[in-house]
Amino acid sequence: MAYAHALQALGDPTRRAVLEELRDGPRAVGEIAERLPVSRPAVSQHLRVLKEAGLVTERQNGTRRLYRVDPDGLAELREYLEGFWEEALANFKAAAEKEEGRKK
Amino acid sequence: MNATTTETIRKEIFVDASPETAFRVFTEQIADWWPLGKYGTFLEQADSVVFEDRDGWRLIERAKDGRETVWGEVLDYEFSSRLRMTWHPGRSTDEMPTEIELTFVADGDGTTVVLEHRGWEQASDEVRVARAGYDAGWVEVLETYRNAS
Repeated sequence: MAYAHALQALGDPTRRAVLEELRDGPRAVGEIAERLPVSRPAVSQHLRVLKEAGLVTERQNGTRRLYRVDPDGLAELREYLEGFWEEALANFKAAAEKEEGRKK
Repeated sequence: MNATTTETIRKEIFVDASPETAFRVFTEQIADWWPLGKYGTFLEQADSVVFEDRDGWRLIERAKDGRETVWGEVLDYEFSSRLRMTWHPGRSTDEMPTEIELTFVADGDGTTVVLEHRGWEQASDEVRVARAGYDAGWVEVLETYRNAS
């Protein structure tokens, strides 16, 4: 259910902003905090949630801990939503056609 | 904000029914076809999902024990042709909800229904002021990595 966590994680606007700061490549907590009106501890907390949601990964680079976007997590979320809507609309189509048949 | 970043997901389906029927089934009879056990907040405890007029139309999911959660608010609609609503299942209030727009277009004896789920990057004014340049949104992040992989 990684996608469910991902959807939940992305519900927070600041968290989306933190994620977006990683678009151009890996960054450290301090670099992200400098670019956003958010404290370092808050950025760390958001990164932790994003990591648990499978949207971000971290690695140690010397003394620095770098965060980057996890492409697998994002692809999974997108695929989930695409698949979900296809299924929901197929159900809807069947229900609408049944209803129309009732009228004829 | 530009179209490429706002149009997150677009699905089109042909329905062998009139636009009136399609619209009614989508709204009045949503509980009959929505895959509630799979996509909802209460999952196996879910009872139903329904559009209700409470100072404006809302889509509400109800659990068997009476709990409720609002999935979204209808922003505007025209019977049998279109409906636009906010979309935030799992969070009853949301300062930056995503948005769904449905259009129903007569097509021969049936109807082509188009669903767009967009606005992941739509920011409230405060947020936009607080942080310029947000328009690109996470969808682009996603596309970047999708293209790269």
